[in-house]
Amino acid sequence: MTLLGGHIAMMLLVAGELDSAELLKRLGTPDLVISTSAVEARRHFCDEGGGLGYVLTVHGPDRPGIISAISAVLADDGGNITGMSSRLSGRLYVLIADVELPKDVDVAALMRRLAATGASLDSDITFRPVEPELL
Amino acid sequence: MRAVLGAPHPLLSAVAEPVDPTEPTVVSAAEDLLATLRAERGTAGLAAPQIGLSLRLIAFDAGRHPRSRSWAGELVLANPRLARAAHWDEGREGCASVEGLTADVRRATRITVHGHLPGSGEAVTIEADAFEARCIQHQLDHLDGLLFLDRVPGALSLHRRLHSCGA
Repeated sequence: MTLLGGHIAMMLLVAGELDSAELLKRLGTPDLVISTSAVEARRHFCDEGGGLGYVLTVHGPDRPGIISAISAVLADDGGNITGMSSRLSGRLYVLIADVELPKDVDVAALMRRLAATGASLDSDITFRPVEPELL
Repeated sequence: MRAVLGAPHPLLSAVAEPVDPTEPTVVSAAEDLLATLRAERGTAGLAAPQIGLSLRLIAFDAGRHPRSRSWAGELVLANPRLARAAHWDEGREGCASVEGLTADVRRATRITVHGHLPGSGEAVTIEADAFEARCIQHQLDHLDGLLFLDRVPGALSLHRRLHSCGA
């Protein structure tokens, strides 16, 4: 859940028997804008991840095209952004993304391309493996 | 006393230069850094790049923070170097140069740092834990051009700042 322009925005993943049209009908209220869609939960959310987990940080002056440029570099290597958080604080734009890479990616080469893209955006980029949870 | 730079700023992304701690200009920079830290409410540490000086100087006073255990006092260190780091844990951090944001960052909770005192040049070793250890590591990162944002462990660990708790 987050605030966008003073409006609450949230996305919920739910499981149940209702189709998306019926769910939308039951959720409808005049104060909220709601959309529903069915997802292939088994394929997208229940499979074991087979890739490499990385965390990407981008920070620099706010400007259009940062997410587009960074996600294009990741997509070229089959990288998948599985979580993302961005904040604007004054002139500073910050993007943190969880990224899953195919196992055969040349990570060093990808990091060089990310660094070059960051430099072209006047932004700093760090890209590092996810630290394992120590339970 | 100097103004604290806010990100984005090139000096906050640059590696700072080693200093001669006995050099009068370095002593003057250390005094400026300490004066600026004293004037910053809610901030327990500053590094020279944050006040526009690309020098390997840090100032800290962990006694300003309620989660502190060790307390080396109010201190400026020249050319500080992390010699030992152990017992890693996550904790919430902010920064005087990053207004409005905090994040959960994993850092060592017990550290040993070597450095020199500005003026005399005397070599000192600091054993720090808990918040003081976190604060010192945060300042050391500034000397290498890193912000705490570069150490955020995942997308869900970045937060809006609700109150002042700067490292």
